[in-house]
Amino acid sequence: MPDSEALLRVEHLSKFFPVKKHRLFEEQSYVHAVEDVSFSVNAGETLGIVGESGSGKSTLARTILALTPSTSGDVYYQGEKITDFKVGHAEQKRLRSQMQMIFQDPYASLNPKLKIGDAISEPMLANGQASSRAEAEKKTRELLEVVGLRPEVFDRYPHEFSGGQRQRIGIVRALAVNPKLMFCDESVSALDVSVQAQVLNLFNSLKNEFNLTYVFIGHDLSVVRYISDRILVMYLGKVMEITGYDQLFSEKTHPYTQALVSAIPEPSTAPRKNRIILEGDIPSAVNPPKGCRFCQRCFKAMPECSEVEPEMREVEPGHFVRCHLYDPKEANER
Amino acid sequence: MQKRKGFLYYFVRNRNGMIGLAGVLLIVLVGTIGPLFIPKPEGYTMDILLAPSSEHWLGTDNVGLDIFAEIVWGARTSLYVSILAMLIAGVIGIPLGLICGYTHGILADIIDALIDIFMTLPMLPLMIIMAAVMGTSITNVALILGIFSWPQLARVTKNQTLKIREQQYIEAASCLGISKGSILFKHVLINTSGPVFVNMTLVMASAVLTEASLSFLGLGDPTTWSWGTILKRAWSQNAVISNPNPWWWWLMPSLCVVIYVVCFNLLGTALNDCLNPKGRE
Repeated sequence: MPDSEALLRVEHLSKFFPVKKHRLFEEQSYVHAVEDVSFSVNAGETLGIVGESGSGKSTLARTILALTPSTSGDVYYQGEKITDFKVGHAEQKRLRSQMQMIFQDPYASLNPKLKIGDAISEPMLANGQASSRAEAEKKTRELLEVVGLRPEVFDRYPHEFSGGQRQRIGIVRALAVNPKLMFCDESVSALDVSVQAQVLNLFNSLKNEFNLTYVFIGHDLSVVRYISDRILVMYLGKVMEITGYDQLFSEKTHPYTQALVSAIPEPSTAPRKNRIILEGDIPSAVNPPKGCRFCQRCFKAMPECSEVEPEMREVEPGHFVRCHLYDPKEANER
Repeated sequence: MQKRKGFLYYFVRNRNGMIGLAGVLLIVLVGTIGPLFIPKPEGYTMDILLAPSSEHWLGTDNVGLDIFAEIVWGARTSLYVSILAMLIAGVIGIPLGLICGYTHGILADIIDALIDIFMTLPMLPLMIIMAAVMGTSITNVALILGIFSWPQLARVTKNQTLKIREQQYIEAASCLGISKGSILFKHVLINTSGPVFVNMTLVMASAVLTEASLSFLGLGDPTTWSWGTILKRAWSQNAVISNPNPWWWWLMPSLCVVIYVVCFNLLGTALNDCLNPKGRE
């Protein structure tokens, strides 16, 4: 899907982790955490990435941000190749400040021995968003107010705050370096439901205020669809579907997506007839199934599915699915 | 915002820690201020081998020098040696431990091997050889002690670093474009400080013990008083076995060494308990 407008473009990105060998001459095997992932993110949109635990969502984000080296594939930012951030020092600095991440666990992502103010000011000084301590402090206090925290927070330590407050501090820390693209890695899943809603609304309002583009990673489709314009569904390291928000409920979605959609809780007392419950767990990513990754748990599996891996196909404009159900010849026969 | 009870709350309520702290403060006070009021015991007088009295609090030795004065001057030596040894061990051990724990690769492996080698070496014989070669001065003794104590600090620092390296806030810091050096010597270091600090007090305790051993073996500085030197003089005059026995001569410096080591160990253990939330009972 080459797109010249795209802010971020990922092409055939893979990340394999070597498995520790137990015998001397054992063949080296790998965890296929992310395999052949391609997608693009346009400026100003929010791309949601959903999938079960272990489907490689977080690894994908970490590989794009060069927090872990990639195995193969390329990443382009504003048209420039930035795979593993193998670029000049100044360019690296620019990328580090323009692409930011909000982490999953607000209790683990703040250094317990650093004052909030120092934790936020340091990256600003390191990346040149502030030239002096005083300037960094002024900006920090302003940003703290933007996310609804009192500026006095500046001189306090992380353990004095609740999860929601800490997540806001994490957001301020990322915002402080003027990012354009923000990765939110399960950023609300560690929070209470009521706090989740607050933080999601904060994300939405910050998006307009700071012209942000989000890649929003989550395992909960009900949360992800609330904030996303487009949704990418991952399963066992592979992209199964890329779909617009409206097409999520169309007929032509991947069976896995159908299962995820049917699992969204509904505020209704009427009994639901069509909830799809998947059998078993996500298989091991060391020896992924031959053929379609999802074939073992798919409720629409055909003999072909465990033999041949399906290709990504555009079933509707802007809606890509990796499933044999939508093969052109199959459609003709039907 | 909840305010949790901090380190000090638990520390002032830790009885052993308070005893240790009081002892350490007393030793520091005696070692720093004492020599200003008490002249250095030198030469000889006629008051040989007097038992403790109001004039000579801890008695006198075989050349009539006041044991209390010798011990006060010895306290200064002990402090000097143990602080210098701790600093040397810290300056070598902490950075090496940080690098060894944080990086992967050949450098980390080399440091790891060095720590293992130094920890398996027979310390005392090597120290004796080094002291004999380098000459007997109190600074040399401190230098030798530092060189042999750093692996302990390096190992503690390394183990802490291994744990902290995997924390999300370290990943967050590198994602925010903070340099590797700053991550290592700021973000990691401040989180290792507790256990490392504790081990530094233990290094100080063992430094005094080893200094006393070296002085006792005649490898200390003959021109300065140390608790080991007093013991050596007593030993060479057969003070321990002679009859009637001038017990104050050998017992008092020995007690000082014991008190010093016990106080530093109490302090170190209490610090460890109070810095570690699980030990706060």
